[in-house]
Amino acid sequence: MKLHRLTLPVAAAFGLVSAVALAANTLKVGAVFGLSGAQSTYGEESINGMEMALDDLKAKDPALASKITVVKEDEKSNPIDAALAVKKVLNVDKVDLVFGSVASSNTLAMGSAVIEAGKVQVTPASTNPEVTKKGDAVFRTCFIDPFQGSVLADFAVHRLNKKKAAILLDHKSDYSKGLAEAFTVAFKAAGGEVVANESYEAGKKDFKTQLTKIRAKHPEVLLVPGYYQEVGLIMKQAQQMGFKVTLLGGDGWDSPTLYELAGADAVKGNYFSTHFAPDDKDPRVQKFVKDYTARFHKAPGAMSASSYDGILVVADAFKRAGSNDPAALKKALSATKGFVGVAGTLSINAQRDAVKPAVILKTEGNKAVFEAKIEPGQANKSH
Amino acid sequence: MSEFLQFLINGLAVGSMYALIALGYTMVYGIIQLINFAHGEFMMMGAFVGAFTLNRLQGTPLAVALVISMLAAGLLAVLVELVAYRPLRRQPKIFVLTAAIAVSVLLQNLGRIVFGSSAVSFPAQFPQGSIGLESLGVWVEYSQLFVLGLSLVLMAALWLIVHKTKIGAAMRATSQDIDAARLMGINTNFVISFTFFIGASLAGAVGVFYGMQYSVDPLMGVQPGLAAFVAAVLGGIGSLPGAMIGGLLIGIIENLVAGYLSSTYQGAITFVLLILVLSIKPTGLLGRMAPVKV
Repeated sequence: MKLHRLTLPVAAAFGLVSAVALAANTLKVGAVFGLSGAQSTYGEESINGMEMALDDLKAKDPALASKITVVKEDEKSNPIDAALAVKKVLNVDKVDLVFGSVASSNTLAMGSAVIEAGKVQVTPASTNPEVTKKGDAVFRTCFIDPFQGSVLADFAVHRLNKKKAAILLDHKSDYSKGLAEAFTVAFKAAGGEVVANESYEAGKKDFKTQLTKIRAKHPEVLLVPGYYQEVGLIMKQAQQMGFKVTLLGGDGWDSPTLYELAGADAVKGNYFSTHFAPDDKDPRVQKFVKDYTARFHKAPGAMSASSYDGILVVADAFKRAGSNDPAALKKALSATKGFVGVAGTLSINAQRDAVKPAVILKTEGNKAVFEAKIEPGQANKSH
Repeated sequence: MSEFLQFLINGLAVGSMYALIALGYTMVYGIIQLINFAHGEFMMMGAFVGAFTLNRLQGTPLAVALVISMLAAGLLAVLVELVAYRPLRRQPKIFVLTAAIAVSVLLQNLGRIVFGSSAVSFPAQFPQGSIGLESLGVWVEYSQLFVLGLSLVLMAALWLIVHKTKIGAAMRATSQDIDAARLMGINTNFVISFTFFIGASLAGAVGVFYGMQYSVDPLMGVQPGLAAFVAAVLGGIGSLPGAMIGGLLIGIIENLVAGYLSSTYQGAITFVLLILVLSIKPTGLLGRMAPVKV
């Protein structure tokens, strides 16, 4: 009967240990990104940025870094697999916080499961406004499309002096539609006119009929708020048709694949807004670019930088929260103010969105170069 | 008028590629009554083989790359039929159909693992530019002309094989009655393999056309595969001229709808057509009602 007498204290001890473990402030992060499929370069960049950030944290704050563990999951660049992937990390891996994804449609598909599980989600790069409206458990460490849209509209009107725009959007993408809408509102407010609205479906590869229609309206700028895989082909086909127009886009352009698909001649002389400029002179940025390039043998993209900053915001909030308790994490994330990252200084506002600057890059033959930096508030002043 | 002609040319160029893929669907259906949903993936594999040949073996002429791609896609189809479809041939049709969907997913993921998931392009192997018909305000690109011309040549070659050769006669016999054909001494297994080979090699050629004009990625076969499936149904599944006409029609309709209605409906119109055909004339434009065998 000795056994019996032992059971109780042992069980109590175990209970204590597990209770301690719960409050012993470790953070298990489920990183869900598109590692395959149409946006796979974003997934790869995000994971690389995150891993580099955690290794840098190890050097700076080893105690904090040792408490954070990460499991990775592939959302295969589509919303259906994103919903499955997030359930896997929540139910099987029992993560405390979901980190991801990039494409807004996929991040939106993950939100409900996170809220249902009572956990927290942080996306480093999804810019559609709806993403954080899912519930108070969803945060983002990047700007939103209304800001990006007004930055582009202001740039077109005030810097390029263009007043006639056309839009060619991906009508199945929440990101693409949201950015087009924000651009339209800001462009009209700044005195511009949108002369053509056309759309395509991701996966299609022939856009000549859309471009034929747009050309007939003689726009001065063409906004293509899509992802690089289609945008590259659109640039190439516009050039093949002899259709000369300045193309504008958002952070969905930001991938080396764009230059490869479009070809050097078709790609140059266009502009896009994004999170980060690799040729920014800021020593912090230059160190990041140097370290990243040395480690991964390719230059960092916007998603590398966003994800690098994003996971450090999470780590910082976790440190201040002092535990993995969702309520404490949410409170700490909300209180993020003046966080200095490689993609600019950011604060989280009451809508759980980050307030931070955007950059505009100009495309050249095989890369994009810094053109302008727009602080939050600066874009909204003109209208 | 000039806009209409431009939409028509864009539609014909895309439609001729749909037609070539649709031929493979319809041939396989004609011979073993299988909708081979993995057919779009044969096109994808052909495109990757073409990309590999042209990118890695610098200086390979386009014609050689085209032939290699067609052979590779054809041989892959023979292998798929042998491994995945033949063992199920005596089972209910739904078994093979399910296997075809499985093969489709398998090949997409295999493509992703082997070739990587980001899109690649071919080197500019082809003179860039277009012929402008100034008086009409219409531009026809060299690559569009090339694709259209070569598609017609391939279709003519297929017609000759089916109607003027011994293996063609065997294919037609097998499609009419596989058991009777076997009793007449036709090696029906070989005929089926050959049909898969020919159909997939046409898809492989389209893969190269796609890569030449657009880009190559593991999911590239999905959209044209579905459009070509609808084209085959529209033309009358099992009918070769039907598949050609269906493919061209789908290409033209897609572009006219995008041109005159709204480009938002470009993808949807294909499936609206599928529903209309199935509810109004399920046998398609040129299909015959197949007598149910008892």
